[in-house]
Amino acid sequence: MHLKQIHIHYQEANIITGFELHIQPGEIFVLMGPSGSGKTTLLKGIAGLVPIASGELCWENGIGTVGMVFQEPRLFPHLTVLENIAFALRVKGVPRKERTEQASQFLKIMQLDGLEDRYPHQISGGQQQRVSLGRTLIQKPDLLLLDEPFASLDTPLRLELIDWLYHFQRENRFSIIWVTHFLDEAFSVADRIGIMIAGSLQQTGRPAELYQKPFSEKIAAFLSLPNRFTREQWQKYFQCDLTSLPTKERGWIPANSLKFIDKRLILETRKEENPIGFISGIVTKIIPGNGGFSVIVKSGDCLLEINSMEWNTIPGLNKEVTIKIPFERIIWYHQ
Amino acid sequence: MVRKILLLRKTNNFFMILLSLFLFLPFIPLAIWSFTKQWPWPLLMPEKMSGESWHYLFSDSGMAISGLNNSVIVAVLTLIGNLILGIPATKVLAQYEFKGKKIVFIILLSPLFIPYTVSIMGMHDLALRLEFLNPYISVALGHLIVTLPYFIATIWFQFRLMGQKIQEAASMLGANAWKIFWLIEFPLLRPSILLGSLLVMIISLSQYLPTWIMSGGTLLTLPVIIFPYASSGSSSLVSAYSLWFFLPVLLLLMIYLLLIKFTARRKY
Repeated sequence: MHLKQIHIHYQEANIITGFELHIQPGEIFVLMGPSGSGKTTLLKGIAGLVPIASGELCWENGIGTVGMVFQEPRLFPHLTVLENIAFALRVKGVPRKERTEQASQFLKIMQLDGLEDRYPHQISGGQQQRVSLGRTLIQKPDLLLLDEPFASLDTPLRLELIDWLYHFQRENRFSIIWVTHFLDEAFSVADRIGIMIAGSLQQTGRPAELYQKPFSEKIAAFLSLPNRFTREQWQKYFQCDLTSLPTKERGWIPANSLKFIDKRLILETRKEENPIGFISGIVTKIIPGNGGFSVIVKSGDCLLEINSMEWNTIPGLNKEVTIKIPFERIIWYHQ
Repeated sequence: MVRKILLLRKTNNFFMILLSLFLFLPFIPLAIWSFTKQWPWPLLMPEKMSGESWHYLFSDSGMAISGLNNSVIVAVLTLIGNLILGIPATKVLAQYEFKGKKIVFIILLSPLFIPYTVSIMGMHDLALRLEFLNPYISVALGHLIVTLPYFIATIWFQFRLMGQKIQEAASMLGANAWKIFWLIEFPLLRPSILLGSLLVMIISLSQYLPTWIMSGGTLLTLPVIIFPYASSGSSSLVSAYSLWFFLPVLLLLMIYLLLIKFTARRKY
């Protein structure tokens, strides 16, 4: 599917401006962006639920079919789980017996067998979202639009459904435009990620590329990249002129690239080949996580985040620490 | 805690009985009056009972059956008009935004708060223009003006509650506008449509002035038949007619309750 110069207006405001995108068959394209950036409007435009003011939506092989799963399940409360799943077949005019058979098969695929006679209010939130997915997938769409469908579910259930859908998609090879605000969700399923800000696509790329080459500070900020500073700030830390080195206006460094260092070893460390910077600061917060500990250090007006796997290397709260910054690990990007 | 719940239940039962008595008690003297010509104060029961009023009711000049027929035909036509006009109008008012929406809403509901005489005068003009129409239809048109606001007010909230999200979902599953209405919206609206229909029929059955004006007094529905007796002070006949008039209302209520029970057999 190809979106060419799509513009969508709402009343007099331009919500989507000049949107260009090419989705490959069998691709998962994750669309991210701050709230109000127009992600849902774009999906609704593709789905035909809101009018496209100008631009073109075309398919490489004739006309494609689109299915959409919304953030809330939007199940029909007067229909059973089976009837909800069979709804698309019913409106197509598939005879009752045939559609019941197909829907029953789909119930098994969706791991919903045994719930066919229940009404939406009689099943859990996760099951409701499964039904919502099922009734869309039974249409066998060429392109599936997902508008944060798992956002309201608890983390284990969300991860389970993401994993299930990912494998289902890989087996059936339909394309997905997947809107989410969860970075873990995006990076675990995406073939490509697009960042949308103020109605237009600011950057697209493979998941790793976004971290390695953020196009701008806006994107770096949206991705919550830690330890982002201007070149001038970095120069202060390195106490040297960085303009002769391959740098750009801004740079960020992964939290696990920073190390605590004994102040007494600074002179010795400076002898290394690459420039090395040092920052002194006070530990203000220690956040435990499943990947170790994040230590927040305040240095002047700046906050730094340092990751450490081992508890015994973590300095105590309010302790003064020195941090070693390896220049070669800084990822530079434009303002 | 249990004691409190029991006390609350007893209080509720007491008020339910009180309410039932309040509604039911007036029917007792009405039933007695329909079998007597005289029941002077302070007698507890009339001295002489007779079925004369009921006999008259079902005689050719009493027109109980034909009056009821006319009333029911007009009420059904009024209901059809409400369903055809009221459902799409309410859908637009409840779910879409457009310029002048509030004005349209006020106009549609205006018969609820504009003095009745003003509506009747307008209706009189309408009747003169629609003289070529069948009296059933012209009377039903008059009743439509009176009942439409009640119908709209009854189903508006349900439409509003439903919103457009469920329509979007159905549309994404391939349903066109008609299928969205028939397979999704109508079943969800059914309880409020049934209630609105009950209201429309009952209000239509009890209309006197619009019926009289729109038909020029030629279509004799039950209220038109009863009115002269009521103004002449014939308590016995009026009581018999009132009880007879209550019959279709009771039947409608029973049909409504049965339909509600039938449609709510699915516990959604």
